[in-house]
Amino acid sequence: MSGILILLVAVPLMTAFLLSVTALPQKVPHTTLMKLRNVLSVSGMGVLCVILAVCAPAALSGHVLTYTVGGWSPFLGVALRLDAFSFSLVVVSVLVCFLALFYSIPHMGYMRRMGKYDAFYFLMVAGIVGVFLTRDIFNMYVFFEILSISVFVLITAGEKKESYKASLKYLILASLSSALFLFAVGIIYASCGSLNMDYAAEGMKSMVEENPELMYVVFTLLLVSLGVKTSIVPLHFWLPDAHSIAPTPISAILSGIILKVSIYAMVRLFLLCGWQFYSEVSPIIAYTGAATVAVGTLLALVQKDIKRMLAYSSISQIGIIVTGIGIGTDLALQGALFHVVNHALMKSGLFLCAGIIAGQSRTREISKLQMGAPGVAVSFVVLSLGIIGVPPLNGFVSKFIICYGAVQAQYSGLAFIILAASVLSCGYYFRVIQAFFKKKKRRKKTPMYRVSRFMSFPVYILAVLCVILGLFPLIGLQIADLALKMVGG
Amino acid sequence: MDVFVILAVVIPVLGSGATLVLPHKRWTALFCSGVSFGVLCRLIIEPLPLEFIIRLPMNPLHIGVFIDGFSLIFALLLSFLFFLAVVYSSYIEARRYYSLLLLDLGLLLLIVFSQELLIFYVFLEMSTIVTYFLVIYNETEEAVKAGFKYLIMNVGGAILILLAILLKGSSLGALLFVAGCLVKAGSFPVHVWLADAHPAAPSAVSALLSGALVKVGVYSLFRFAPHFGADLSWLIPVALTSMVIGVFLALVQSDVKRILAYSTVSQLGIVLLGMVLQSDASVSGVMLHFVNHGLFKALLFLCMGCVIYATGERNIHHLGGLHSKMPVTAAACLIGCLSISGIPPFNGFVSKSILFHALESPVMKAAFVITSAGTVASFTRLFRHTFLGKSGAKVKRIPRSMRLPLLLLSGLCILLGFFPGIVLSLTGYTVECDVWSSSAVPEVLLTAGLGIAFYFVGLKTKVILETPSFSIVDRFFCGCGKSIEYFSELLDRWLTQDVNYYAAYMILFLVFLFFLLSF
Repeated sequence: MSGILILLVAVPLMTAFLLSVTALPQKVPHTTLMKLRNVLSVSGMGVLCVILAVCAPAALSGHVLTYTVGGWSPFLGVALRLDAFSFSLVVVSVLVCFLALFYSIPHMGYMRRMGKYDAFYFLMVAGIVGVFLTRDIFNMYVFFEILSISVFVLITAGEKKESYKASLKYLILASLSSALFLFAVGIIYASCGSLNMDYAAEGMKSMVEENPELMYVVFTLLLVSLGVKTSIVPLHFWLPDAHSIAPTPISAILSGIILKVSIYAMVRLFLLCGWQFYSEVSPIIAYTGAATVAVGTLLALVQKDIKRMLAYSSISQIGIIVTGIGIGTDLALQGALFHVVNHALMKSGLFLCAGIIAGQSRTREISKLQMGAPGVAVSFVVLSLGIIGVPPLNGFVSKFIICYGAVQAQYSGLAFIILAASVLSCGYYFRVIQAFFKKKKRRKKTPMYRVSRFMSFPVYILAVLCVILGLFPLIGLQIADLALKMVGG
Repeated sequence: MDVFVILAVVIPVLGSGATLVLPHKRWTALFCSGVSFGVLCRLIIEPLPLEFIIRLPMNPLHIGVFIDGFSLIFALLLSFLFFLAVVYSSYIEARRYYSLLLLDLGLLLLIVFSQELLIFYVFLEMSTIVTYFLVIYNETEEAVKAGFKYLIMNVGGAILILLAILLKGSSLGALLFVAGCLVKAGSFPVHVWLADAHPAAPSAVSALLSGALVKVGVYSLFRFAPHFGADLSWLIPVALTSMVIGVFLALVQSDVKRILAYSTVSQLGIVLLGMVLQSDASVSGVMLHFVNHGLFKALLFLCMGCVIYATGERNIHHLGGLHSKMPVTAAACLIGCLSISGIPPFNGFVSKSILFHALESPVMKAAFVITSAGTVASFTRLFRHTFLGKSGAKVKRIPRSMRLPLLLLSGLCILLGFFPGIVLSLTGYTVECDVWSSSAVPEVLLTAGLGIAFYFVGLKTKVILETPSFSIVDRFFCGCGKSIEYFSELLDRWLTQDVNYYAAYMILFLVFLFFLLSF
């Protein structure tokens, strides 16, 4: 049963390989190749969904599935582990990647003709799933690298000058942060003797007692290196460029999923050190998170480009999650985990919407946007209301729980910052929404292109999921609760 | 009798979906709002207060329903006004308009019925957003701007309430709650959204805003302030300022709907004052004035809507002489003006005199008399400049469906003037005050005389002929917004640099964190 875990990583890797092979034949017409690629990608994702469905009953009933690669002893070998925490995040990521894949079927014609888009897309999926599953800290580093490298390539998929610039910026900062991560991994290995999280946890707990200075170094290195990937303030600089310049489906995944991957790593690794150490350092995380909320919100307020605005809004939402993690009480952590899922759904939906709307109005400038397809506009409104935190949508539930946790843990100031940021976020999202309604001076009638179903349906699905999770929040909260038990235990 | 309550709420909410798909959107909307009103009427004969809990599946929140006399009165007023708004809006074709109206009705009823704070907040925030889309329905530049101001201030107010819920038990929580409610109620100094949103919205929506929505703020103060143990006495000066400032701003406006909007500020001040005093007489006066103000202010807005529809003109100085061309509208407007001025035998007179006699200190009485006189002056001006004098403009024919609500509302204004007991018996409070006593005559004569004197003095000195740009408060709030934006721009410029700097920031942050932890 638990052998199936390796398939979760192997299937996307295999698909990536097969997709890269499709670039080889010279004499086959493009249309045939494109069809082949579509079939391969969709079936690859389909297989992933089937595997997840098989694992679902075990993971959701609180069991832990463990698989050691190659049958080595867990002390030496690489272990994979699926529990409720990683399961829920893998499900959300596969869902979002699947929907973004549908979106890119009609959208990315030029890019996909060369075949590298699809191959790197699946490499990225393998990286995401790998980080979620692995139980080995060095292995986590490896999957992070796979993820980052495929993202470098995917950001440049538009093949514009700015996209190379943005990608280079990301490349430099992410490599630096990876180096820091590796440094931390080295220290952990030197002092604990094992990189398997179960064994390292005990080593780290004794390290806290014997050599707290070294533990501080490890914590700082991990916080900064994962902070760059999560883009907390003041390490957020690469994000707005990369997220706004990447092609729309990639922006959706970058904001929706890849930021959460490093948040997942943060929660896993910081909690390894034990609650005592964590409660000592958690105020730093909480206040950094609050700074991220404030700066992200303020910067989003002045953006003229819709995708850049969404990118900055991601920073502020990530700040809310980090604040929740930093507060560190059960309630706040539960809210933060729920917000991770919610933000993944909402922000990827918003990026996909923004892609359609910007495409239809032939501009990305907020004040010149047009309504276009009403269904997409309604989804945009619903998703942005979710981000603002308007009931009865899912964003409200998780934000409220985080704020409630903050007040209970005597961090009322943080709750105030989060709520003040929601008022400002209402300002910048409704600037977009009111642009839909403002009557424009009649320009030359340029017929809007019809939105392909492949592009609009993913958006509808995400919007409906947000409403469902908002109306029945216990679905998400119970899973978050279970996940929390898995992490703490 | 839970079924009736649930039906009254669920039918409009379902109807809001149905109007989007069914072919007869107007009839669906009429049916749903009508049924909701009818079902609520059935509740009058039930024993009050009514209390029960609706549990939702997979949701930790339960909707606790609590209905006493006040909530029933308010709910009846709401559903009646929404019904009339649907009747009135016959010239509007868009489906989403009706859908939003019905949804808003359902949400407002839920606000009125909800017993717990959090669920109250949930519906409050939802209705704020729905109302935003109604306010910007006209999609003009002005409407979008006004809508944005409405949205930011009201969402801000709602967030204050949420923060208050989180900090419940502390004195800060109580303060925040009251502040949030004041924003909703459009009281001075947070009335600026009101003056912009009313003129920009479609007439039926402005009638609802004034007649129903702003009262939610006062209602929630009445219902939930005791939960916080809030001391409300500091609201008395706020209410007095609202009353006086509102009415004098109304007196100098030139946009007919803006006159009504500012008059709402002053009337809400009166209601707030009565609510804060919390004596039996003042509270029952407040409840009666809730209904009365809802009726006559909706009537006046709908009349002005007819005038604007017929002439396409909103500036009071360009109107005039419409009484011969629009006799029904003129008569209805006259009734509305007399009601709001507190002239017997119309309904405004009864509630105003109950409130007046409930006042304690001479300062309040003086402010009340000045406000009433100012109201008389501004509505003399409104009526005279719109309907009397020379006639000029060409007039479009008004459809019958727009006239029907005017007749109904003016009929109710007269009916409640003679039989205020219909509402008062529902309140659960008893008032001994006999408003029809002979002492009322000099009071009415005094205020009316003073008001007409105000008007003629204003006319002679030409103060009321041109609109002064008197908007310090408005500029203050806009300035706040602008300064936040300016600060963000600075931050944006300061933080956008070369990648070398970013790497340097990263290392500095690393070192900073390490030192922070080590010491």
